[in-house]
Formats: sequence, C-alpha cells, structure tokens
Amino acid sequence: MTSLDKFPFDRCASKLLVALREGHVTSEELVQAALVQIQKYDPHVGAFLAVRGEKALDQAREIDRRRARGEKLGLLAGLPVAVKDNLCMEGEPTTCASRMLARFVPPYDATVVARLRAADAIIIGKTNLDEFAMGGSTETSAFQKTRNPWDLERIPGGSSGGAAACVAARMVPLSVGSDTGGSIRQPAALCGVTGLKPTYGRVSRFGLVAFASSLDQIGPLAQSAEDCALLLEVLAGHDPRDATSIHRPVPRYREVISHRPESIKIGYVPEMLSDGVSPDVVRTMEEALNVFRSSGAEIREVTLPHARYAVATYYIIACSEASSNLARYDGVHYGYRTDEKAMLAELAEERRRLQQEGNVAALEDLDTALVRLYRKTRAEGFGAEVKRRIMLGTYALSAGYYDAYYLKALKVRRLIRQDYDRAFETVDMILGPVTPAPAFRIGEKINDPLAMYLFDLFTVSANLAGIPALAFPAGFSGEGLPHRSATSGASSFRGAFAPGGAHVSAGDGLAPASSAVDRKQSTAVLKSPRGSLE
Amino acid sequence: MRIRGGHSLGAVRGILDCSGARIPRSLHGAEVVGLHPHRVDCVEMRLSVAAMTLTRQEIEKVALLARLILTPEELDEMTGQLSRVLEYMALLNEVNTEGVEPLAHAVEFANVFREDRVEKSLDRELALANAPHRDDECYLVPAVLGDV
Repeated sequence: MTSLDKFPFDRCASKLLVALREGHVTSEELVQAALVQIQKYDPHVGAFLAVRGEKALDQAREIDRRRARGEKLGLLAGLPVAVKDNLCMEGEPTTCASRMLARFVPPYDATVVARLRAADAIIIGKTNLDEFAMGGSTETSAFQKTRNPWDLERIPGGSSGGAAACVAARMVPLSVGSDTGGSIRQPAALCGVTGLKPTYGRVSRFGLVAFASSLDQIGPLAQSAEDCALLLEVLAGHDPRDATSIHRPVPRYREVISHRPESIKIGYVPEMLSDGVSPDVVRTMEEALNVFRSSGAEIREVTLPHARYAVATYYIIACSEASSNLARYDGVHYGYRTDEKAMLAELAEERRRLQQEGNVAALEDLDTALVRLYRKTRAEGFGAEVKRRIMLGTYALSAGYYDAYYLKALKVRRLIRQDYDRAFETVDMILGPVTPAPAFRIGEKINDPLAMYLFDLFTVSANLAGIPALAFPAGFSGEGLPHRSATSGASSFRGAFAPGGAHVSAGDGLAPASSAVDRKQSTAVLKSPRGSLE
Repeated sequence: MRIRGGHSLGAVRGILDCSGARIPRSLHGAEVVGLHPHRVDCVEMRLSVAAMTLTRQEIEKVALLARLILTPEELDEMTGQLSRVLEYMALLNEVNTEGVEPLAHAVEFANVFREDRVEKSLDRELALANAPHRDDECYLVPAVLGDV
C-alpha cells in the first residue's frame, strides 16, 4: 500500500478513482484492502452473505493490466463495490436471504449488475438483507444478522442492512441496495451513510427480485452524496427489458451535483416534528434546517395532509403486490422444494385416515399432491415475516375485499402524490427525518409487526409517489444534493430527506467525527468509524 | 345471501346490485357511501372497524389461497397479528376518496410493446439448471391427474 491511509475507504470514491488513474494505488491493492477489512470486521458486523475474493482479485489485476496498457476503462474502473443479494448476478448465488433461494444461481445478470461490470467496477460480494427485502432491520434474514457498525447491539436498519453496514464499516466505498418503502434510506440513516432512492423508473428493475413492482427501486449507498451521484450515473438509464423504465436521458449527475444553485427553497412539514418523534430527531432536524438557512436556502412550511395515511396505504399495496410476485416460488422451476417423498407419504397417510373415518367432505377438500407440494415448499421455504405479508396481501386482494383495501389504498396513493405535486409548486425540496427514533436494539421489535411497520412512516411516501429521496447524515455542511425542477413527472432530485442523526458527514471530503467528539447520535453514541469495532 | 353480523364486506357486496336493486343505507356496520364511478357491480364501501377481527377459519382459507400451510401455533399467532394490522388499516376510512382515480403506478404508462418477433431466449440447459427435479427436457412434478 503506497500513499493510502490505514482505512483507504475513508476517502470518497471519486478521490479513489483519481488515485487509481494517477497510479498512486492499484486496483489490486484496493481490493486487497477491502478483503482485509472484511476479514477483520465482518465476523462482527455480518454485512456480507458471500464474498468473491479470488474472482475480485483476478478482475482487479486485469483492470490494472488494461490500465497499464493505456486502454479506455469504465467510469468505476478498479473500485470494489458491494451488491445487495436480491440482485441477480450470473453464475453467483442470489439468495434474497431466504431458504427458498438458498441455492439459486441466476443464469443472467440484473441490468444494474451488467452496468457495473461494463463500468469495470469490481463486485466484491453480496450483502445481507431482510428476507425478500421485507423488513426494516435485516433481522428477518434467514441466514445471519447484520449489526450496526456504530453499535453492534443495534440494528443496521433494513432491508439493505448489509449494503449500508459495509459502507459504514469502510469495507467498500460504494454499494447498491433496493428501496421499496425506505430500504435504502433507513439503513443509510441508521448507519450514518448516504443513500438514495431514485425516481421510480430511473433505474431498471430487470434482475431485481421483485417484492412490490410499483414501489421497488434500486439505488446507491455511499459515504457522500457525490459518490451516490457517481454510482447513479452508472446505474440509471432506460432499459427495454423493464417496461416501467422511463425514457429520459440520464443527466451527468456528477456535474449536476457540483453546481450550487443560487437559490433553493426547502420545505419542511411541521407535523413531522411533533408527537411520536423522539426529541433527538427533532433537535437534529432543526439543526439541519439552520445549516441550510445559513447557507442561503429559503425555508418554508409545507403541508402533506395525507401523510398520516401513508403507512396503511403502503402496506396494503406492498403486501398485495408481494403476494402476487411471490406466487412464483412454488418449488417447481428453481429454488427450494419440499421433500417430495415425505410429502407424498404424509398425504397418503392423511387420505387413508379420512377414508377409514368415512369423512367424505374432508376427503374431497384434501389437497392434491401438487397443491400440497406448493404449500409445504412455501411453508418451509419462507420465513414468518414473508408469510405474514403474503397472507395480508392475499386477503386484501381476495374477492370481496379488493375494493375495500387495495382499490381504496390506490386512491389514497393518488391523494398522497397530489400532496407532493402541490408542495413542489412552492418548494424545490422537502426536508424531514428518515426515522422517528434512533436505531433500536436487535430483537426489540421483531415480535411486534405493527410497531415495525410504523417505523417506516417517513420513508414510504416517496415510494408511493414515485419521487426521488435521499437520506444523508444531518449536520452535513452544505447542500445534500442540488435539485433541478423538472418539467413534469419526477426527473431529477426534487425531494430529499435528512436522517435525525447529528453525524458530521463524510461528504465533501469531510472526515467523520473524531473519537474526541462524543455526541449522542440518533442512532448510537458516536465514535470514530472504527470505534465500535476496536 | 346471508350477511354475517358486523362482518364480511364480501357477502354484503355480493348481494348488492347497482343496476336497479334497492341499496340499503347501512348493513351491519358497513355503511354505503356512494356508487363507484366505473364499476356498476359494486359500491364504494366504508370499512367497518368492528369487522376487522379475523376468524381462524378465514385465516385458513387465506392460507390455502396463498398456497401456504400453517401449524396450529402459526395460525393462532397469525390471526392475532393480522387482525391488529387490519384494524390499523381501517384508518383509511377517514379519507374521502369519492371521485379519486386509483394510482397504480408512479409513472403512468400505457402498455409498452415490442415487435412480435422471435428473439434469442434462454438456453434450455440453463433454464433447467436450477430445477429441483428434472429430466432431459422438463421440470418434474407429482402427478396432477389420476390417483396419487
């Protein structure tokens, strides 16, 4: 290692790219550093489900060779990145942290994975998540818990907990996650990194294992908004293989973000800072607003009258869509299948018993072998939270309830969207907390699904409305992301959210808070990034 | 059709026929608030909070629809948890959505088409590679027809 610190990934990705281009460091050295960091800290953090060390090193050496030969390289050439394990990677297991897909090896790349490869990024491993992205704490993963690098007794957030934790723990400079109801932004906030959910349709969902098709979006996690912009430029773009992908040219986000607009109007919703929100979060929000005010932004109050219905609306829609999307896991084509012999024997035994009892009605109702195959496969392959959501969705869509639940929710969704359209007539950006309270302890909420769902109250609206949203550590000295008011729809960064964390961000090249500063963060007691682990 | 007390909007919906039949103003806690602008076979119904306690029987039915099989313990736990969540969902009753069009997608697309032309698809071996049970050509499943 030449001119790099002990923790090379304290630097932002763009600076690392410069170092690579100017020959101060090789890609092999970077990947090696990442692997060392992972080896040292991941046994405690548990961010990764799989690390492809040898392949990553081979790729790194190849990039170094091509660079030495003066060949043209991709935008992220030589940088190690991590990818959430619900994104298909050809030839590598993609498990969605579920027993259902524990041994599933996709025969194709997700579009974003193909784009990362084309940009010469080095995918170093797949990160842990809540099972099928259903959860807000990464606790529902069937394989392992991921712990918050700032406090190992606490959740990293979810469902992209692994993707957020590995960036926070300085294992990689960039990671890719997915966000359906806050699953990038909430773990980013709780881990003190920056995460972006782009405008719906901005990034292709082809190869993202579907949870809720009208809500899912893929996005970047990094230590700074600038790095998120860099990664987004690689990920974004129209894809004919995703019918919901938008036809709009991808701006050069790196340039967009470097332009400070002369004037910016930032809105905030007073109700978001009232009951149910922890005082820590409120204080941090007010500090954040002051930072923006002192850098010249105009702060205005806005209202989102239907915000209080967002969680109910979201969960009806998300679970309904999930019940449909997860119907494909039937044990037939791929994934887990129940022990067929045992299943047939059990069924035969049930039939014998019912015949002996003369129970004609029950015999008629008895599952056929194929139906029993489906039922047992799914009962054994899915975890409790996934089953809960499938059940909720099935109920909400069933005959007689469809109008009362699903259709009703879709109408409220339009009202939520209209609230935003109205608000954005007077402001460019809306600032708010990401979570109502700091990161809770592992195990604290897992037995109370409703309490877990209510933790999402600030994030779900952006998915419902399809607008982009950014989570960044509060106390950021400077703009989060500059905005562009789009002509229609939701093209650039028109919405942004700040987490309730008083963490001096690593954006703009600022160093993270030193261990001398012991400030109560909304997530944990702040130490230096290595503090909790050493 | 019998209406179960304070329950089952499905049953209520089933007997209402907007094309001419008399529509009762209120049925066991489900209040009729208006006609849906586009669907003549249903009415806009207000959820009744009291109706949201699920029975174990209903949970079993939903489990069958969802192709899941639950243990008795799971059934009990699930009944309680889902009832609580559904009670919370009744919050949406407060919202007046008369005349509001549903928003299914953030970006409102019409159907996206391509030319109906045969293109390269997944090689059969690759498609079968993850199969739990297969032969040379197909996925294998338990017999669907005939006796087990």
